[in-house]
Amino acid sequence: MFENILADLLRLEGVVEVGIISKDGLLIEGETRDRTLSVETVGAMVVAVYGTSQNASKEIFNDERVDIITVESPRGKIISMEAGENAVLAVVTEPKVNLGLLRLYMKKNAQKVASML
Amino acid sequence: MFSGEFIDQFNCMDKLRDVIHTVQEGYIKSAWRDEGKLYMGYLLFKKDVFIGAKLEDVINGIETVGNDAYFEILKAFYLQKASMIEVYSTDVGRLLKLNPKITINVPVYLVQIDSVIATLRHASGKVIVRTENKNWTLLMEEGRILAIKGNSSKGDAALKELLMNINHIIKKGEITLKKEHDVYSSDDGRVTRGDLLLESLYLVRDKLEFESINKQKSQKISKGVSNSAMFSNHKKLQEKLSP
Repeated sequence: MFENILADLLRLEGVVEVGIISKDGLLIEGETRDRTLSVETVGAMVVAVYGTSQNASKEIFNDERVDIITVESPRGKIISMEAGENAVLAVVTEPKVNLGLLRLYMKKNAQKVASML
Repeated sequence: MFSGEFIDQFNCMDKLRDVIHTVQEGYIKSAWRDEGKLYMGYLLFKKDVFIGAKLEDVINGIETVGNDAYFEILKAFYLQKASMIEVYSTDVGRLLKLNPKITINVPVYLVQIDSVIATLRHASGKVIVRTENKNWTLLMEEGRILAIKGNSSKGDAALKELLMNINHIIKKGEITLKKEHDVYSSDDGRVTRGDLLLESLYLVRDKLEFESINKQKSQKISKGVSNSAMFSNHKKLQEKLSP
């Protein structure tokens, strides 16, 4: 059902893994180029980070809405954004990736996920 | 990735023909999994005909273009591996100029037959087939005809009339699928052989494909290409289209 979205993001240079995860941490759909990465584990971690970020935003800004979360490390990046009320779209990348282009594609596809769920 | 304006997305093959007809010029895009791989297929179309194709193995970064891509994408559609199809409107001529290798050079009538086969192969419910002065109402289940009514006949007689007009239907007919099932009473318009329509379409396709290859063969023989290469191509095309 979500193959179009996975393929759309995975074909971008530098993207290693794409996941659509429910907000309670269950993987809805995912795919990876790196078979050493467990899509389910990554999904669960992403949702945990997303929940903590919402709490931080609520405490600091009095507004729990979070547009996008980016975790940057020397080994790569993890970017996640809300995809409707019930899901999060997450991407794992190599260190070098066109972030602007990736965010544009993620936003477009997050809207598609939201409309399909 | 091709540029273009997103028009719509749908998840059933029976809408494909109507959507292409409405949009007129653009491409469809669809992804599916097969044997552990993730594929993205693009089919460029203009005036109801597919004219370009590109297939990407997204994980491994391998690309296939042209006729080979076209057959693989159609096979995925026939076998219902692709669940969501997106349609985009774009200037197809410009895309083909930038990517000339994606051009399909399968004869137009083959593309039209493939489109009809893809529409009917798993059709279930009421199907209306129309030409300028005739129409038939079919009750189908997974590609098999259960019953059929024409302008002035029903059952096997109406099916025979439909088959006699098959070439015209492929080229200029309209086929509309509706999901209704309660169209006929138990004996009204039932046919003896419900698989005859699809079988006939496959036979027409094979015949036209063989004629096309033979035509190429006679043109190429005059240029000194061997027979075995041409018949090997024909066998590859056959294998590509079988499930």
